[in-house]
Amino acid sequence: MRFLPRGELFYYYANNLEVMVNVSAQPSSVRRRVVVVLAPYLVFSAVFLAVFGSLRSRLPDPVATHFGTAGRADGFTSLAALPYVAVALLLIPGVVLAACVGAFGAERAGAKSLPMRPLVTLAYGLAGFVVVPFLALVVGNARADAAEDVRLSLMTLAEALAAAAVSAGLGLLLAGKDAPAPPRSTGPGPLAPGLELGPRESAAWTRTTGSRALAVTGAALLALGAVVAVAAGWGWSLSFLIPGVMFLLCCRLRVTVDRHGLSAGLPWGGLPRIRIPLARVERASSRDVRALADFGGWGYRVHPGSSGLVLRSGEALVAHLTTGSEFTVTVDDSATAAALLNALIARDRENAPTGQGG
Amino acid sequence: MLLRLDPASPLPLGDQIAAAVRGAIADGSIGPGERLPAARALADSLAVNVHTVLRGYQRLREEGLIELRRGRGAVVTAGDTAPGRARLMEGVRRLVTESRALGLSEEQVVALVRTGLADR
Repeated sequence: MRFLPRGELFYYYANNLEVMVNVSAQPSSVRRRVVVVLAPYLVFSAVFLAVFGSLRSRLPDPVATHFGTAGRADGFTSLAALPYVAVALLLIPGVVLAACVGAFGAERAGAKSLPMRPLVTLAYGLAGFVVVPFLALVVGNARADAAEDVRLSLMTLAEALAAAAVSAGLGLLLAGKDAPAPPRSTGPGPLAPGLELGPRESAAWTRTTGSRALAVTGAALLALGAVVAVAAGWGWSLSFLIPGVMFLLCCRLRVTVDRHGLSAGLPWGGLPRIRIPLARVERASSRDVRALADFGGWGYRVHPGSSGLVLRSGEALVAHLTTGSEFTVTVDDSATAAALLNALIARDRENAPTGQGG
Repeated sequence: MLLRLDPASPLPLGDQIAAAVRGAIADGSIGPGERLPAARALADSLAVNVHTVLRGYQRLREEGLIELRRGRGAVVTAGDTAPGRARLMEGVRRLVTESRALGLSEEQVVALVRTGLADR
């Protein structure tokens, strides 16, 4: 067998096991997967409550629940509140992940479902990772004479990671096969209506495109950063301010089609900018895209054979490249842009019929 | 915003650029407060001189459709009236072209407009 790094080795075994266990390659239903995702959180909550119940008489009140870098207890929670806090912290990620599976796992009109196996695996790994510290905490408190004496070592982290790995492996087995993904590209797409360009005519199309969601998120992050700066100091607020500025920077783009080809960049020009020369574009079309279903999110998306600047769902200009891959950018009035790009390409090829396109 | 420049047209290139931008403001594809492409970038796209683009932008500024600010470039005048004003300017252009075609003098055209304004 060829050498595999340790992480992949686990994956390799898990995959092979899965082939043995999951002989019938039936695509799993969404409802089954929601139950499958929720199950470890419910089971681990029950395990936690069982351990907590059996050790309750030996636990101090309040219980040590937070530990500094040296493993010394520095935060405490009342004994009565502990089970509620722990179960809530276990169930919230479970419910969120189950909701994700429920929302995005189903085939909807015009969009294919997202692959669910990674999500189910993540859900199981997370459940294993979260429950171990809670169990270690209860056992540690039960062993100590007073809450102040409770120690939690870095071994707990190692145990949590191990539990996460085992749990994730189980999740991989239970996730079931994804429905075979339909080919990524949905065909050529309707060709934009033609646009006649005179031999000496010069033409360009330019438009800004934006995402209200990104702008609102950016502004909200900045506002939150300002509040945090006042409440906790500048250092803490940076983790809100920096992403806030980045969101605001990326919330508007200028897309241009001209004699050079297609370019997309910041509204006032300048770098960074993506440029695709005319010679590299086979043809262009206009198409409706869905950010989450087609690209798995917003922003600069790169998939094999398909990349794009996806700021929103809806109308998009698609450049089909000579390499066979596609570049997509979401922008209004994309039909005009595609028509102009096609006209420019046609004129370019006419003027240099023997050119190989460099 | 689609810009098409015809070198064979009697209309100067700067005016052709102004007409295209005016049309885009009129139909709302460039909104109030939005930035126009930098003159240098647009000149490169259209293979014309930067001054040609600036001449077009200057015309739009005279019409009150855009503002030119140092460092910020050309910005469509804020306020809901921008598309309406752009349409009005398109009407004015048409008026001027047609009166010239009819051989009317400047005074005659102004007199016609006055008569129109006198109507209630």
